[in-house]
Amino acid sequence: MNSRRALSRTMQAGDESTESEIAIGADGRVHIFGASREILEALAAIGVRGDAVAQRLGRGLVAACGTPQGASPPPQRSLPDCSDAGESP
Amino acid sequence: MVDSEDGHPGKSVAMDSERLAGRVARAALHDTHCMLCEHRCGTNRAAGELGRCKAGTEARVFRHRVEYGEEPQLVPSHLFYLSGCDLRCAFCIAEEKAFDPRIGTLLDADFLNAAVAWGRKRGARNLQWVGGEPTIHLPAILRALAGCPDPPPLVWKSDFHFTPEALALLDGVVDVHVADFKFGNDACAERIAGVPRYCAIVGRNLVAAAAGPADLIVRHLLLPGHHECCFRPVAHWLAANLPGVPFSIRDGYLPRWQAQHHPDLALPLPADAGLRARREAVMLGLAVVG
Repeated sequence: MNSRRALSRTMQAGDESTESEIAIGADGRVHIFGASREILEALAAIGVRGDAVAQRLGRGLVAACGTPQGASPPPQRSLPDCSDAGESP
Repeated sequence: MVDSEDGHPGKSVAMDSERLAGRVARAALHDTHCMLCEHRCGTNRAAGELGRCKAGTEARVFRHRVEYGEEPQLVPSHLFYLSGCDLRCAFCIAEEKAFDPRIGTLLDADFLNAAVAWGRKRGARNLQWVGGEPTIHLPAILRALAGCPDPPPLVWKSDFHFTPEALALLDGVVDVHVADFKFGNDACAERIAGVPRYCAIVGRNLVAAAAGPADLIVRHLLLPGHHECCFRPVAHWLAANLPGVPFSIRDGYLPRWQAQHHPDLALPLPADAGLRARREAVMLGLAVVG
């Protein structure tokens, strides 16, 4: 199989790679499944409560850039609350 | 720990192609008489027979993506979701994809090589096999890996309902086990996931995995109404048996799939459940992560 065809098959299975699933509970908690880096950055920007987002963004930056300084801790506002980001089955 | 055939404690990067070929051959025996999970059905999958998991000899990937929601020490992680499972958890977030092994793209070396390259470009630090349950596809996974010359570190996210034979096949292949310790008693496991002798099987496998060369993370998804019957026994078991193992308490439960058939599971998790559980785990001296 040539690499172009393999890549095509890869992207078929990876279509959902472009999606993160977000559910917002009636109590305001945000549940994220398959959290991408961009989703976490957006949550950090709007000020989610808890350190789950900052922890993961920090690790991602270390891995991608070799420096943890770029990690942006979320502002300390009270809402919304991000429930443990991500839950693979 | 069940000894591997060669006794080599190395990790994936150290496993040469000859040794991996040996694993592929050993794993292939389960295609004709499957003893990969503790249902021990002995199904001849190569002949088209279907066991409890309904898996054939091929594995299929229904989703793969680079994710940041896993434990902080793993992210960014490239997760490969394989369809098919040996359990039948009523609350499974993957829903029907987890239980129908016909769903998804065929896993082979071409697919895996292209997907790994795709994940590396997006910063993935490791390749994580999830499901469904990856263990039921161990022969197919090893075959694909044998055609992948430079795999990333491997994470094996499992229900830990596998046999010692399966764990021996993983020994020296995977770098990190992520164990889903779902239930704290056999009655809940039987009622919600349809699996008997759950605690003895998972406990045995956790102790064996902790003694092996791979790192181990134990994960527990908090279920509504199951603090006393499931979370607490899990936490106490860990405190007594594996107190130093990283313990990841997940509070992202949502009532999905067939949860509505179980009055206890049909409710959302109370907002303070995660904090309550983490405090209790810390009081027990557990190494809470995430």
